[in-house]
Amino acid sequence: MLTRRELLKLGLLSGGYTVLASGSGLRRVFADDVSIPASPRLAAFSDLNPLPIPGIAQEVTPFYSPGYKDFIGSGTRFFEIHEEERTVQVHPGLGRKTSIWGYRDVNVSQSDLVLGPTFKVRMNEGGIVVRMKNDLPTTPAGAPDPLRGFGVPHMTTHLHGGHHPSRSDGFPDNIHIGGVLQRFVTVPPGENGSHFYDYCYPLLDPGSSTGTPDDTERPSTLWYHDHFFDFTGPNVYRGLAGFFLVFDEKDSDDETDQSSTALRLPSGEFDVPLVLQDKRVDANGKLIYSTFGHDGFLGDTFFVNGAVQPFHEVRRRKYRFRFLNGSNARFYRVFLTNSSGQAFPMDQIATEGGLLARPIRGIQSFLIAPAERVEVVVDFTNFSSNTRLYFENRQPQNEGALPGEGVLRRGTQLLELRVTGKKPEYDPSRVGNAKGELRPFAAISAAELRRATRKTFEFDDSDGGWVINDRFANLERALTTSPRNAPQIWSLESGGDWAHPVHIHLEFMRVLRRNEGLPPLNERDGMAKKNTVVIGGPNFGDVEIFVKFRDYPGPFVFHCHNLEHEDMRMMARNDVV
Amino acid sequence: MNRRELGGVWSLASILVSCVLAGFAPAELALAGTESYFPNVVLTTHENNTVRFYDDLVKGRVVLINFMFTNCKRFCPVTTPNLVKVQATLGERVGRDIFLYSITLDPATDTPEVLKDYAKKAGAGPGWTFLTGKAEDIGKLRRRLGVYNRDPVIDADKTRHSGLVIYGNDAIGRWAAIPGLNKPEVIVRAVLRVAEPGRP
Repeated sequence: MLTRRELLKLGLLSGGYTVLASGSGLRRVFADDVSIPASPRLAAFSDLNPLPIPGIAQEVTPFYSPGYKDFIGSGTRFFEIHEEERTVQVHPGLGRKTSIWGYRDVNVSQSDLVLGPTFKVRMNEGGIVVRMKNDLPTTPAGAPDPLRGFGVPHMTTHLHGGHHPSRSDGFPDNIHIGGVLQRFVTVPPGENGSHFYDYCYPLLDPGSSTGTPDDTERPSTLWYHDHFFDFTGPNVYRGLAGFFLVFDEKDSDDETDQSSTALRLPSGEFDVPLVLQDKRVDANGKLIYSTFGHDGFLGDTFFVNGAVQPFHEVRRRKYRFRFLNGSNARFYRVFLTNSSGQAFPMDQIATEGGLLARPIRGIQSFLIAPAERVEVVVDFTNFSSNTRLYFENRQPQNEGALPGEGVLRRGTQLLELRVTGKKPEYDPSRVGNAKGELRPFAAISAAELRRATRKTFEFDDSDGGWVINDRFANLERALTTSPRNAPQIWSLESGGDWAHPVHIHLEFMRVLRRNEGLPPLNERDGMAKKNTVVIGGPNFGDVEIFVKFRDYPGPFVFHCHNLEHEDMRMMARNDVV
Repeated sequence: MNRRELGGVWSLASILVSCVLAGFAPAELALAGTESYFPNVVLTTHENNTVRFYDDLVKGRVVLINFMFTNCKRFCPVTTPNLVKVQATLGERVGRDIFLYSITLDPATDTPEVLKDYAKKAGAGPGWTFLTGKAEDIGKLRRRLGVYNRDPVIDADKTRHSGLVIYGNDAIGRWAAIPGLNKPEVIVRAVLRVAEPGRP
C-alpha cells in the first residue's frame, strides 16, 4: 500500500499537502457533514462548581495474588479499584447528572467525581498491587444511539509512564507469543466484581534488575487509564482515568521536610493535579462522541478534573500544578492570565518524564499535547485578595488531526483561580534546592550514542487508518524487538500534515534532535526526560530520541496518543528480549 | 408511545434547546437516536431490490459496511477477498443476525447487474448485499459513516478511497471501524466484540 510519505516522494500528491504546509488553511469540506450536535452553552466558573479534587487511594488488607508471589514483600501495599458506571454532576447548569465510566476505590462506597482516586506512592518501598475489578455494564442503558452508545466495557488498565512488567502494563489485547494466545490480560465485565486483574507495580528504579538502578529516572506525575484495543478513545473519553503520583526522598510530598535531600516543593493541598479534557454533552448531560471520525475527536466544552470550567480558591503563596492533557486529540497552550488577558510567568519543574534537571523560570505559556504532563509552580504571594486569575488555553485547533497555527490573542479560560487572604502566607516551599536544581542527570554520553542501534519509525495515514512503517497495529506479532539494555536511537517521522503525540511504554525517552536541530529546552536531553513526543505537521517535524529498555522482558507497545489515531491502529508492538 | 419513542422526543427537544442556547443552527440537525443519525436513503441491491439504508439494512442488526467499486484496482482487490473470509468465518450467522454491505462509489458504472456479477465472481454469499444508488446519497452515507479523507483532493479521487470497514451493533448503538486490509480473523474478532457484548 502507498503511504502519504511515499506519495510525496513520488510527487503524486497534488495541492492539498503543499497548500496546508504553507499554512494558507485549506477548507475542511466535511466538517459540517459529520453532524455532531453542539453542547449547550454552560456558564463558566459558577460558584456551585468548585474544582474536583479526587481522594487518595487507600490500602486494603493484603490479598493472595498468585501471579505475584515472588514480588510481594513486607513493604508491598495492596489496593482495590472498581471500574463502574456512575452519574456525576459535571456542571450545575445541566438538568441531569452525566453518566460516565470511572474508577472507584473500594474503600469509598460511592464516588461523585469523574476521575478515579489519586494514587500516592513512593519509590523502592516494596511496590504495590492493585486489584482492578470490572463492574461496567455489558450494554449501554437507554435507547440505542450511535453518538451515545460508544465504548466497549473490556478492562485493561495502563499505568501510563510506569516502569513495570509487561503483564501489568495494560497490554491492549490478550497476549500472544509466537502467534499463540499466552495470557488473558483484558477483562470483560462481570457480575459483582467477579472479573478482576491484579496489576503489580514494583516501583523500582530502572536498571534495578541488573544491579544498576538509576535514581535520576524516577517519574513524578503518572496517570492510569483504559487501553483496550481499538476502543481506548471512547473508553477514556467516558471517564476511565486517574492520577498516580510518585514520590521519593527528594520529592517527598512534604514542603516542611528538613532532610538535606528534600526539595520541599509545594505539597498537600498546595500540590494540585489538573487534567484538561474537551468533551461534548447534550442538554441532558449525556456525553456525545463519534466513532465515525478518525482524525481525532474534538469537544466544544472544556473540563478540568471532570468538571466544566470550575473554580479553585488559592492562597497567597506558591502552588504546584500538575497538568495532564487527558484529551483525545486536542492540544492546549496554557497561559496564566487575569481577566483583562495579561499573562503572568510560571516556573516549569517537570514533564511527563519526571522532574527537570533544574526549573525553567518565568515561562509565559506551555504547549501540552495529548498524554503529556507539564508541572509548574505559580507564586500567588503578590496578588491581592479577590484577584481572579485563569489558566487560559490560547491554542487554536479546529480539527482533530493537528493543532492550528499561531497563538490566539484571547483563548478559553479553563480554570478560574480565586486568590484569597489579606496577607501573604507563611510558605516553606521552594522551586529548587539551594543549588537551583531539581533532579540533575547526565545527558546520554557520546560513547553510548555511538553504540546505539538506529531504527526509523514512520507514522503515516493509509487507507482510512493509521500505520507505523506501513503496518496497521497487529499486536500478535512484534514490529520491533529491543534487546535488554541495548542503547537505541529511534527516528520518529511523520508522513504529512498531521501531528502525532508518540508515546513509548516502559522507558522514558531522551530527545536528541528535533527537525535536525537542537530540541527546545523543555524536552532536551540533560534537562528533561520525555514519555510522549509530538511529531509531524509544519511545526513539529521529525524527532530523534534515545531509549534503552532495561528491566522487564516481554511485549510492550508504542503508539500515537491521539486516541482516534491509536484506535485506528497507529500502534506497534515492541518486544523487550 | 413506547420508551424508545419517548426518549427520542425528549432528546430532540433537548437538542433544539441546546442549539438555541449555543446560537448554533446547522442546516441539518443531528438528532439524537439511531434513526436520525443514519440517512435513510434509498439504495438498490445487486438483486435489483429497492431498500432504505436504515430501515431495511441496519435497524436492529449487527452490520459490516464498506465502500468499493468494481473497477477498483487498489484496495478492493484485497478488501473484498478479506471480507469473503470474514463471511466464511462468521458462517451461517451472516444473513441471520450479521449482515455485510458493500456500497459502490461508482454508481454510474456499477449497476445492479454489474454488482451481481462482481459478487458472484468474488464468492460473496447470502447475507452480503452489494448496493448502488444516487451518487449524492452515497456521498452523504459515506461522510456520515466517517469514510472520507480530510484532504478534499484525495477525497474526490475514488481510486484512493478509504478501505475502512465500519461495523456496528445497532440494537445497542455501539459502532466502530477497522481498516479492511487487516487480516480477516482480526476483523472477525473486532466485530464479535461489538456483536456479542461481554465476549472475552
